[in-house]
Amino acid sequence: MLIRLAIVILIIAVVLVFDAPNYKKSNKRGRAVYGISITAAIYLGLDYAAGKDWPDLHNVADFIFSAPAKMIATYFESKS
Amino acid sequence: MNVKETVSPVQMSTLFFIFMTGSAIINIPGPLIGFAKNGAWLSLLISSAFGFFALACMLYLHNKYPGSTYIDYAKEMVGPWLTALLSVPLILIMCHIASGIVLDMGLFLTTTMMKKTPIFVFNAFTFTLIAFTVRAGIEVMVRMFTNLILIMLFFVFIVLLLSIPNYHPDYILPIMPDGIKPVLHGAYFSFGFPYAESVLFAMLLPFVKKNPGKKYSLNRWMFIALLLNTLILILSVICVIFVAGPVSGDVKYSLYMVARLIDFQDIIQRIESVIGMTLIAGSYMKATVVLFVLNLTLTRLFALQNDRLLIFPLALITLFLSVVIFDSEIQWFGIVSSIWPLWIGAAGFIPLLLLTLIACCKTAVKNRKKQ
Repeated sequence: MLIRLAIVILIIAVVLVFDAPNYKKSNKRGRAVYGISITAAIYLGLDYAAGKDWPDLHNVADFIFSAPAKMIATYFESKS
Repeated sequence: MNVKETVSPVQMSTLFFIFMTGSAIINIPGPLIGFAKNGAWLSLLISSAFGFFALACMLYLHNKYPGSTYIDYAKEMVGPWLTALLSVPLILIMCHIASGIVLDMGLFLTTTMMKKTPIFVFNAFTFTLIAFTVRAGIEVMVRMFTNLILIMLFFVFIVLLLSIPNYHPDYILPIMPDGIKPVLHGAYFSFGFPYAESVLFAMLLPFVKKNPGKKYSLNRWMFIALLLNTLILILSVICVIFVAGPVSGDVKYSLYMVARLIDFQDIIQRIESVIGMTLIAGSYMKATVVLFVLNLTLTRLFALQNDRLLIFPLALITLFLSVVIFDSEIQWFGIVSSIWPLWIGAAGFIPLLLLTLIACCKTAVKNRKKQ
């Protein structure tokens, strides 16, 4: 876990350093959107480092679509 | 602000062809044959019809609102708040596509070649390359990818040609031994990947150079690209069935398996690595296009001044997503084969359809008022 955390921190730090000049030049809206994107990246990075399977995109998709998808698959797999 | 980049209609249709064929040619045949058996080619015909329909809707909206992306004309038609609501699922599916493509590539490398290397290593290097390619812009992408796709197709055709001694054309029969349902199941799967994903090109069509003298040239070239894509996918599916017959559906990377069986005069053997290279190149190109569209969507949605500001954060998000979304082969296959077609249909295809209907109704009302 520590190695993964170190990799995540390193990668995020490199991206922040690389994007610093562009971030400084952008307006409030750009900085806000950038901040939200980096927050999402940090959350997913910590999820990867911790290896605990925190809620992500697939949990949302699963919640909404798994029941109808199962019905569709069952219909196609049933003998006509 | 950066100079607006433009590409020619032929370049845009090449990019479209690359997007639709890039990773599909390797990933589609195995699972599709698993669902539809010998009727897999019929499934492709059915799902490609939806692809043609989606393309027709995109081109209609592009001609109605020239120079506008999907986000721009959606804002004009339904207002900014409803556009933001429609964009959220679209953004999420783009994140899924980008991370899923690179995950597939990483899984291929870790299951077939480098089994002890963590998948994160492959995904990280790939996303680094993708991010820098997106930063270079669409003109650079198109020029580079045109060469890559030609090399890719060359290798694929060589593999299909050299496999001729292994073909058993009788394996294609019977075509529908279990009725129409398996074919429809295959069509459902191939609708999700790759045909419904074509809706992302609604964001890229404004990059086409305007040429008033050739009004319909983009339309024609885009349809030709989709037709070529359909024919190539059908050809690879049929060739895989000819080689492996009933067991084709049990092999995930079926073209890789076909390449493995080639033994030409004891000289040309074990050339499956070219299919590995083809998969990597195709996945890289497609994921680059998706990240480009994702960046463009967010930039237009929030009206950001710098269109390169979000590239690296988005690459980070999709990189980490690609390593956390995968729990097991069964879970991943379930998502790709059952949930994904419904998800992209609801989040991408249906909104496009709705916007097309709204545009048609507005035109009809306008014409009635004129009369």
